[in-house]
Amino acid sequence: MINDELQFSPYEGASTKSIKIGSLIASYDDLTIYWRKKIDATSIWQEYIKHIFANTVNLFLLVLILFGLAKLLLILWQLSWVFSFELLMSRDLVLFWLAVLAGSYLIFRIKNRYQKQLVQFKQDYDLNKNNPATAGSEINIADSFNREAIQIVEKSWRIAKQYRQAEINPITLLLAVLDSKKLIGVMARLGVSLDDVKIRVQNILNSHTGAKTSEINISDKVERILLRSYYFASQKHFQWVGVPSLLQSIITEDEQVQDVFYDLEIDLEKVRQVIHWLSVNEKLYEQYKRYRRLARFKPKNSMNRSMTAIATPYLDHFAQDMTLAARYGHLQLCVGREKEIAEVFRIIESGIDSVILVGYPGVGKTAIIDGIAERMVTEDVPKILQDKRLVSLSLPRLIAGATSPGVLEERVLRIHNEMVRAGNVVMVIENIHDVVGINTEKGEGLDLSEVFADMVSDDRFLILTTSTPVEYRKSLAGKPLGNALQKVEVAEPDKEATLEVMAAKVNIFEHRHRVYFSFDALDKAIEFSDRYMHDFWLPEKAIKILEEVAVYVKKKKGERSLVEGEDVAALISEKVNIPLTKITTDESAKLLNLEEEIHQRIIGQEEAVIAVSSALRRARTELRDQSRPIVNLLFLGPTGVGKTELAKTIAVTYFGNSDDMVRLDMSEYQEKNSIARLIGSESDPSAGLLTQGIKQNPYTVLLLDEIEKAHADILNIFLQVMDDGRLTDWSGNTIDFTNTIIISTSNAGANYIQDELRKGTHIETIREVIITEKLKGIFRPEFLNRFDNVIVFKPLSEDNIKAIARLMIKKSQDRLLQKGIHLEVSEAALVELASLGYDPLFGARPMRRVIQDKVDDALAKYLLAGKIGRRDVVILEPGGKVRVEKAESYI
Amino acid sequence: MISLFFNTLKLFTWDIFLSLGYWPIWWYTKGLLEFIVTLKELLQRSWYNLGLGILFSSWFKPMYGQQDWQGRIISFFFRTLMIFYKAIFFVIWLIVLFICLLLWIVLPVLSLIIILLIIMKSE
Repeated sequence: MINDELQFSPYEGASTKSIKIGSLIASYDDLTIYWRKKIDATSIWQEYIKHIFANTVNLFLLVLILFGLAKLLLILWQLSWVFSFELLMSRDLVLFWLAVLAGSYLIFRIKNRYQKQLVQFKQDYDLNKNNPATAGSEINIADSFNREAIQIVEKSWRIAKQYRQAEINPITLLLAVLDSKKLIGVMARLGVSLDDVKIRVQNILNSHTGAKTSEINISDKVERILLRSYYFASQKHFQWVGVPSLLQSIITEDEQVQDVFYDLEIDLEKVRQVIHWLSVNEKLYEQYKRYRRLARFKPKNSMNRSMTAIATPYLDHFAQDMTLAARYGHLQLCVGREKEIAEVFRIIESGIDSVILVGYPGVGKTAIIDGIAERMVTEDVPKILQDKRLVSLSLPRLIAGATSPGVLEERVLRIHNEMVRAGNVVMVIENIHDVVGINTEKGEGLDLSEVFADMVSDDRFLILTTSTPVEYRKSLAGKPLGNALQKVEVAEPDKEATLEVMAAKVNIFEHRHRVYFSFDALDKAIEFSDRYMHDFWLPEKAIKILEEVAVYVKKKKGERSLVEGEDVAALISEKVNIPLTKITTDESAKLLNLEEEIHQRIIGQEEAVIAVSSALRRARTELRDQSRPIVNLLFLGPTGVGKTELAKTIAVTYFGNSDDMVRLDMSEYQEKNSIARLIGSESDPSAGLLTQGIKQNPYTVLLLDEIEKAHADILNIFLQVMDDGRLTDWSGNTIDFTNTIIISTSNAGANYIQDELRKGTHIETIREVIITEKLKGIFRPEFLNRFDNVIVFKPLSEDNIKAIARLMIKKSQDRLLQKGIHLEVSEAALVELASLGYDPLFGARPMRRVIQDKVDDALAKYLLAGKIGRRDVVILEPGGKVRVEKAESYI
Repeated sequence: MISLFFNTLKLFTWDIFLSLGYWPIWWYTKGLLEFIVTLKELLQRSWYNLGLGILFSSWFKPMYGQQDWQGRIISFFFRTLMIFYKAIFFVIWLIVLFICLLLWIVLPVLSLIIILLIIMKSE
């Protein structure tokens, strides 16, 4: 179940006494741990009395100390503050000397309170060097539980007794833990109420009540929990085993407890992450305190502490002092990123080399630079960076106003000279690729990047720069400037690291917007931004979502409310136009009756509507494969039977809008070289109808009309799209198709369908024959295999055509109703419209024109002639005749 | 119930005696070591805060980039002056910490002796 290094084994010399005190040992990292502490009525009572007794003794000692000091002051005051040897030995001062002894004894008592032992952990992770782990030692973990944790174990005994349990089991321990005040924070972050959990736990205990027993022992499972909680505390480098480790351990070890939390949508991983979040916060606070203390000693100006530097007024005009900004706390504390910072330091230490951080926008390049600035403030840096300033050069400021020939070059050279003379400057140039191609002499002078290359290769100072992978490849790699820089790749952080960064940011947002974040909100912000926002990178995109959702929730629910995962889902839903929130009862009713809803726009074609509805239901309940398009459908059938209309209906039903649909008429792509129009090309980057269309609107229906007419090579492109849900455009950018519904339509085999249906062949049989025989010559088998469903559209029946006519007339009726006029159509007129609007070759396509000619035109004439007024009833008769039933006049 | 009460009492009496016995041992071994470590940290912190390390390492370096010989001489004297007055602060602090250490070692024994002397004198 859990893959870790903690090994349990039975304890050979387990106590034979009636009350068992531990029968298990556990080992990890050369340490053997066991639990030796009696938990029964006597020991709990004794522990309680001992605690009171200890506090009473301490209080007595404190009073003695105060009296002793008071006595000393009183005597000195009486003697007008004159010391003498006799005075020290006088009987009046006995109280004072006793107080000195009491003070010493009190220090001893406080330092050795409960005779406890700090939690041991591996030496090489030990930053404070105050807690060396002794290899091979055996530890009674009961000594490392803090007072609250011990009280919880004792309380679980009382609960076991109260609920008549045979032994202390994980459930009783859980109920005891739930009373801890420390858990309020954990539960709030998990987004559940403590009472909800408590009620469930109490119900379990009530249902398992047994007979009254005289002895209540710790069960083996609880013993494992206690041992594991020590292990967790050790892994997290906590000093004591406390409530968070205990809770995490209970949930890890016991399946019934897991079920309780699972019902509340909380799994082990969530609990682990929340506890991690809280401990990150605590560590961050410690880090902050240390930082503020040390920052006071960093100089307040451009001078270094050894006062060897020289002021750099010219450089300061074009740059911002980052160490100064960090000193005053203007930069946000850098979280994580140890790996990259260590790599930068390694390069710097291994010889004087300047560094370029290459990473996508938003992955944290600036955060790394800020982190280095902060470390320079506290001097936790290699010697070469100690007592130095980090100065960020602003390229816009450098370039602004440099219109005359040679001005730019002169500026850079002057800055270069100042840096060499000052000797304490480390420069930062963000987005250094921007200098490529800049010069002041209208293309004839030296490129600015070459001037910079000269500066960067100067060994007398260091330069840190940043760039993006695309720009690095395009403008720097293999060029003098790029060669002078050592590359450090900054990858997009994984979920865990992003969570850590966000945990630090959340405090700021909570303070700024006065709302509270649940863990689920953070989790969803990462998950959804990762899945649906492809043009941005973690952690920035998730952080932006968090800040936005904080404002959103504050406006919606008011201050002091909790930001939940659903709020994040709602916000991202609004942004990307796809439903992500939990399915409400209204929506599930709608989804279950999707067929009916689609039939309000589509007449007939039951099989097609059912296939599409099922695909949409799968997508909405997230049962689909997330690495492919939502669904790939091939609509086959004669023209004018509703293929395109169904695609539009899907766009409206799932994405809320049919205008955003990306529609490609594949008959325009019959040539091989028309690929460029689909994915763009070097000469015409703005082309790329397919890639640009999906990039701008990744959540949409992609309609490929008359797919059989496209060139075979173009169909090959779609093989990859349909299988992997992605396509690379001409410039190397990957376009994501996993949130599209791909619908291809084709007339192939239309005649066959019509003929067979006339013969009365079943539609399923027709479909089989079309796929296996008729389409073979048109599409390659692997292409056909990519479709989730091939749907055959039937030619329209007479009833269908009448229904379509009725549907279209409904639109005219609605328009007239706005003018207060009722339009009715006689049955004979409807039959006439249906027969005129249907063409065996074009299906129902002429219907729109027929209704326009026969209905709308006639009505327009009547309206213009003033023959129809409000509340009149207009009746349409065959032959385009119109009869008006005038309403009763009140004039 | 009564036996439980006596058992508990017995336990505490032992506890008190044990702790009274361990107190002097702890005071002059582990406690003393911990105290020395704390004092050492305080001393190191003041060394860093005063910037003495940096001053010593740059004693002969010219200030403000004045590389000429006049600059070098002025810098040397100025740095010597700074080292001198900062060292005074440091030494005072060192003495204060040393006194604290002495008090830790001496006070308990001293107070015990004085109390015994006073008791003997009064008899």
